[in-house]
Amino acid sequence: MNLHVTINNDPKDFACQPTDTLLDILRREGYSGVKVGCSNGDCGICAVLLNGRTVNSCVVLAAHCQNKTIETIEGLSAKDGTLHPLQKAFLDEGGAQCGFCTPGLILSAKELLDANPTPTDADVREALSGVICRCTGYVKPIAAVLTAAAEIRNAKGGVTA
Amino acid sequence: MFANVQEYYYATSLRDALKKLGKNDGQIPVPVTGAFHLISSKLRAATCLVDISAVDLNYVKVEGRKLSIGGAANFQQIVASKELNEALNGLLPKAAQAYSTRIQRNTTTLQDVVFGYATFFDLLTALLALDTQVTVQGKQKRVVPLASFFSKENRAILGNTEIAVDFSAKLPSGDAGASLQRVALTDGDAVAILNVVAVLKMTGKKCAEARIAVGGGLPAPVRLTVLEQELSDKPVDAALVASVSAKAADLIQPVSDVRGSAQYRKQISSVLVRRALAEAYQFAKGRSL
Repeated sequence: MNLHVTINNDPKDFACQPTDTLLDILRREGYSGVKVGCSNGDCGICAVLLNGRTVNSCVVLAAHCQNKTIETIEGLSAKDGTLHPLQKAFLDEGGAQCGFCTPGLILSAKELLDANPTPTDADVREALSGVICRCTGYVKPIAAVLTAAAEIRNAKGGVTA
Repeated sequence: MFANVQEYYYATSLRDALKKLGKNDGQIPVPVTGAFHLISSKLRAATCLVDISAVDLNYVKVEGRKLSIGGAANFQQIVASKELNEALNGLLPKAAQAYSTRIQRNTTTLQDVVFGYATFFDLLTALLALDTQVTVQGKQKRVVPLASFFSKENRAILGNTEIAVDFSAKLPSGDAGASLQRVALTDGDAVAILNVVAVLKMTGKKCAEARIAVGGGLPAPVRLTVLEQELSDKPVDAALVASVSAKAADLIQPVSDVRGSAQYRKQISSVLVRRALAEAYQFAKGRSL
């Protein structure tokens, strides 16, 4: 079957089987920022944004994404390579350790900040809770998301929390 | 897991979905709403997946005292619903939020929960306490109590050719309060060792109606109707709540598993029922027992 999706603002057409997962397709098409973790929908390592909502791509069929928009970590930085405030904050705050769970963490944070530009510490913890970091580095990612939120608000000339 | 699947069908309407599901052409069709983590056992034999996510079943609404949740609405919609957060002190959003994480909730639907017979959800216990009725649409339309999904005889109440399209309940009127109490290995554990939901409707000092449901550590959630009757039409005070709660342990048959023994679950059932009734009373009356 033919799959038409928009990935990181680029329209794409792929051939796929009805049984391919979204994770299968993204990895096959070179989106290696999407990591393979538990393949059971539990760890959040393969999280991507599907129509703006995080999903575990290992338990979503690619066919289900027909005509939908997908964002992966590759789509966050600008075309000129300028990092998204979340990516920059993760670097500045030391929010990435081995880096394996970082795409899932950042995309979960993006879903949060898109809906809530002034999150509390508890909001951030809740938003990131679906991604398991086996380096157990949760403190710095939380700080990074709060820093990024402030950065985004400042850039928009908004109020600080 | 999907060794036999040959076709993925996009249903454009409920009628279209039911037509495809009911077609007797040698295929084994199965309805899917998005993710498949809850229904994987149903997919082994499937030859055709019927995607019902575009069918208009992803609503969450409260009209007057009637609440309705579409079968394809996801748990995060329930968590975020302003109307549900204002109803019964937010019982259903709290119960939906108890399930796992936002990523999981974004793709978990009640259709998948009942189709996959995943009975541990706090949300099911809460919906059971609200006497939820499920509209099942197949060749014929029928409305069945949610409770009927949980009896052994009716385990397969929802067939492959049917869709649980709507979950509806009536909210109690007047002075009413609700409470969800749960004990789990960790705050974030999606599966509770035990969960208890109490709903109290008060008329003055008397309990006009009580509903108590227990789930999580049982084969399926159950209503404790004996206790509900003991509370009904009686002035509610701490002594009555304590004496009624103490009987909860004798009314449930919990399982023993990695999260806790049946004996432990029985022990905490009385504690959780007492706490749930006390908090429901506090919400209903605006003061503690």
